[in-house]
Amino acid sequence: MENFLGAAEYLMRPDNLTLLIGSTLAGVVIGAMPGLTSTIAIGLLIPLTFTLSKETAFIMMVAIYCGAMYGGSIPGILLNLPGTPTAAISALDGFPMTRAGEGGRALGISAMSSSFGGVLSGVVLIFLSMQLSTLALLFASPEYFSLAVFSLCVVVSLAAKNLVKGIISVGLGLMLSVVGIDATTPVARYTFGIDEIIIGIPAVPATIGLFCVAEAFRMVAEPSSKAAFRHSATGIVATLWEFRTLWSTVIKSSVIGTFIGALPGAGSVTAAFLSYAEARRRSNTPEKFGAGAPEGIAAAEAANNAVTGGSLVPMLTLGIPGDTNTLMMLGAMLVQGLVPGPTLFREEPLLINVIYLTVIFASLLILPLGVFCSKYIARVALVDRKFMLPFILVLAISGPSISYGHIYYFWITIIFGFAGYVLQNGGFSVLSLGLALILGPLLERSLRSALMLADNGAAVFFTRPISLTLMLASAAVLFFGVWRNRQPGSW
Amino acid sequence: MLAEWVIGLFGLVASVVFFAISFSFPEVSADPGGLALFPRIAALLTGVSCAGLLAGLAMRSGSAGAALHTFGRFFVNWRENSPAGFEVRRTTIVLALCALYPLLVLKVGFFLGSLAFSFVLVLFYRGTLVQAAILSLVLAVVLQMFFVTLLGVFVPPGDWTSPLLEAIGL
Repeated sequence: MENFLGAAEYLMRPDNLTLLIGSTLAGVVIGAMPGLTSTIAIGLLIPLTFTLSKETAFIMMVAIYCGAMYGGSIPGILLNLPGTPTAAISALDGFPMTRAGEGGRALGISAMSSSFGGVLSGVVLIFLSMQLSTLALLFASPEYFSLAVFSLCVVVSLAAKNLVKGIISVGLGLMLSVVGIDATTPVARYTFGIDEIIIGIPAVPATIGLFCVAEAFRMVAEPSSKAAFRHSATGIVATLWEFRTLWSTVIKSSVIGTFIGALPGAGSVTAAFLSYAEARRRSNTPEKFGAGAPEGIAAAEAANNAVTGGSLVPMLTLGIPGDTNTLMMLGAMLVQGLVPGPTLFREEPLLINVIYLTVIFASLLILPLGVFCSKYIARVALVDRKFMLPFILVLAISGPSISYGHIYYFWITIIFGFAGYVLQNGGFSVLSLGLALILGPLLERSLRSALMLADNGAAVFFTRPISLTLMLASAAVLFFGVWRNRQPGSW
Repeated sequence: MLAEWVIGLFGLVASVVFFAISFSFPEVSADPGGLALFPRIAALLTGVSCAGLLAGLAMRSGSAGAALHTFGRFFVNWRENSPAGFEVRRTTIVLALCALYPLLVLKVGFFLGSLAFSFVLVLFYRGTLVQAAILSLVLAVVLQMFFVTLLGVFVPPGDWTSPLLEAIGL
């Protein structure tokens, strides 16, 4: 409790509070700009962890994450130009409402639902991460190996459109993760005589390349943004009273979003889609969904902001990122020498509690920002591509790489950007590759440690209860993936 | 379709290479897994999956000629005045510019390199000279201040420009 109060006091200092408000606003603006994602913003902030305190850096990263999850809905609702993929689901009902003169109402519902979803997931984060970090004390090498296998199976089943392609993405990521000096016995592997590669494939530039530069390449071929017809949006404040009719949808969707967020690779799009589908199924007027149903916006927005807290749970307790944003934050932790798990909770209580409170306060801030600033923020979506793309490319290539002090990191970002572009064009899962790249070292280390200690070889993964449970869960998830692939028109 | 072939072939070749090289790693008696186990597992996983994907693509194509036609389409698209041709040309040019960017940074420094890169990109997207000049200058200045002043990181001065900067005391 005193750690919690200490973190609250830390957060309420004028400089940190200003940072929190500014970062949340920046996150909302970033989310509203098509092509610019919170992943790149967080990747740019990683070098800040060296110059600022860890707590301050994570306040910025987490606040941007929370803000960006909401920000994409603003241009989606007002202009039918969603800033983020998840906002496309909110726009299904939001834009029709705007055309009918109810844009303000749609914005108010979006802000309210996002705020509630984020706060609820923050509360769940506090309680669930404490329990999980205690459970993690029972984890040894076999359990960490099985957990990493389970995470990769989940991401292959849920994130990959095609199971074989998902496995290929994971395999490529695992192969790339072994390049460089081996951590256990300092032998260089797969360096092909190139000195720079001895350090391996650096995770931050590689993932920025995969997710952000690749996205910029994809935008290159798209025509410039069409001029969007702007509609007025009034009556936002009055909409807040709608909570009394939408509360069940918001709460249910927040729970779905939190749970989905905790699954690696499932992500905010899955959460928003599942919540939307559930809200339509339960609605008395399902025919209105897609034509301006307030429940549709509430469900999608509550779920996608609830993902923020949910995805932080496995990242902080087990070192398994839930989505691309937590993947970047995990990279920041690893660069700082912070090891997720019980050790982190014991040695960095201030950081942990600051992260909890940032999720909650940033989510609370979304409500006033959405209510008072959304009409102005929507204008960023109208910035012409000829200005956006150079900005994104320069930032994405140089940002995560410049502080490493070697041009090798620029090349990694560009090469992985091209690789990500080709992978996406071919229908391969970029998230699977990124996650495998990050989890590869953990997988190998756990595998070798487990085999070193056990007398019964590989059977150790099936004789320990937690490890066996995770292995069976992995098989079940893969089976689900196979079944899903066989369904016509499967999502 | 082309991207699937490229990834499938690359993955298959890479997995074979990885598997073969793994036999050159030293063995450590206290480490039963060793340096080679994990790379071999990853290579097998990738290789088998890629082989399966390529087999599926080949069956879909129907013949070797049809498969080669997929590769040939890339070069045909380059010359075509069609959406596919537009995408291929645009993406290739931007990729080439991105590949030049690190070289620019090495030669003329981060500030001038970023300025030149963003200037060319805005012009490539049919921006006016004024728009390109303003955006590239603002971007370069903001990034320079962000990295040097705020983060305190070293940004490369450039092989060609560092003598000049030294001469003027910077």
